[in-house]
Amino acid sequence: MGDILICENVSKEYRRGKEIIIAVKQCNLKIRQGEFVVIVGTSGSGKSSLLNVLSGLDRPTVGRVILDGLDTNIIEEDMFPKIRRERVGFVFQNFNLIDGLTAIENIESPMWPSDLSSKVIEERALKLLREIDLIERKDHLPKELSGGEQQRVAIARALINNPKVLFADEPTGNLDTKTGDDIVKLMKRLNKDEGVTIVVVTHDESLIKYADRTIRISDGRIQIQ
Amino acid sequence: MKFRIFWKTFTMARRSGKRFLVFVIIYAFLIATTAYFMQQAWLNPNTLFTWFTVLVVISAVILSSLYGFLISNYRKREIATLRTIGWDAGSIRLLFLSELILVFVSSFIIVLEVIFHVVAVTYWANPTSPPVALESVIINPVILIITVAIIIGCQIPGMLLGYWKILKIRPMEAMRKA
Repeated sequence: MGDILICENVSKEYRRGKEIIIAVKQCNLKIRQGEFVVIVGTSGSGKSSLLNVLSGLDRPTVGRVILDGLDTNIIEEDMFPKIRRERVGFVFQNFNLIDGLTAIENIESPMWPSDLSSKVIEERALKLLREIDLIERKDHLPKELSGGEQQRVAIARALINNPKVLFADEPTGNLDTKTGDDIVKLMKRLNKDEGVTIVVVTHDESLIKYADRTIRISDGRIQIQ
Repeated sequence: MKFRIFWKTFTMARRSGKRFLVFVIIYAFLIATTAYFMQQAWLNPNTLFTWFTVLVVISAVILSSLYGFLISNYRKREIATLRTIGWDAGSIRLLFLSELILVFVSSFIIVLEVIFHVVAVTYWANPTSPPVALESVIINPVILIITVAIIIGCQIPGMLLGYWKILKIRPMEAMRKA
């Protein structure tokens, strides 16, 4: 399997008032297609900044990130929505489901701006709902779902576009241990069955056991790979 | 696909509950008062009604700007999330515009509905009165159309403010922890 994500000598700086904060320092990293990678670090270690840069949500200050063969430094800003829609998926700590949409509508939503017919989109969403075992809850609004169910819907939403890479930022952060464990198991199963590359950023050491590879980050630097 | 977003926005706005309802009622009140004052200013030129009309139009501009500001503020995370999952600027603008249209059309329907009921009740109370004599209680259709055009014009600053604020929301904001 080839490398789906290459990070070459990447640094990320932020300006906070007069102060310049270096969140990520000279990171080098390669992630192979189909890998399940867990990036572990304490709060403020720079793991979320690294995820933002790796996923193309933010551009590195120095260095370059090549995501599925595309250098995120040279991609036009207007092209990013299409890239996100077609190549990557995101799972958030707070689930970030749209309150006014039902479970199935939330799953379908990334595809609405696409040219695919509504029928095709609905079929894909229903297939995912079956996979995450929430078919009977498809017409429920997020407020009517438990935290674990909301995160499963968020995972299905991230997968509807058949992404090459799924980025998850603290996916178990707002869940109890048992539910969090179920969520990571679901992600692991999707990683095995669908072959989607998964990059999880977390401070939770218990997720390491599911990883093909663990990357430790501290003070903005990658310590162990 | 634009129609799909348009339609889904209607569903989302409808489900947003209080915010949607409050603005529909305020807009309905605004349309009715603008039309009423304009009609009175037309029937009685050089009276205070002309100034009332100007005042209501200024309120409409302020209100639409406030609405644009509130939508983009309340829905910051939602918009950031949509950007993260691949919605382009055009689709997000359409989402915002559709909600604005829905609020406006709903308020207009309410105003029409109220006018029809006022006419019906007035006739029921005084069946001998001819329709022309009702000018003081119903709003002339021409005035109503002019009012709609004015209120639509008043939406432009709010719409531009909303567009500007929405496009400033970066997808990274979706990653912010609550």
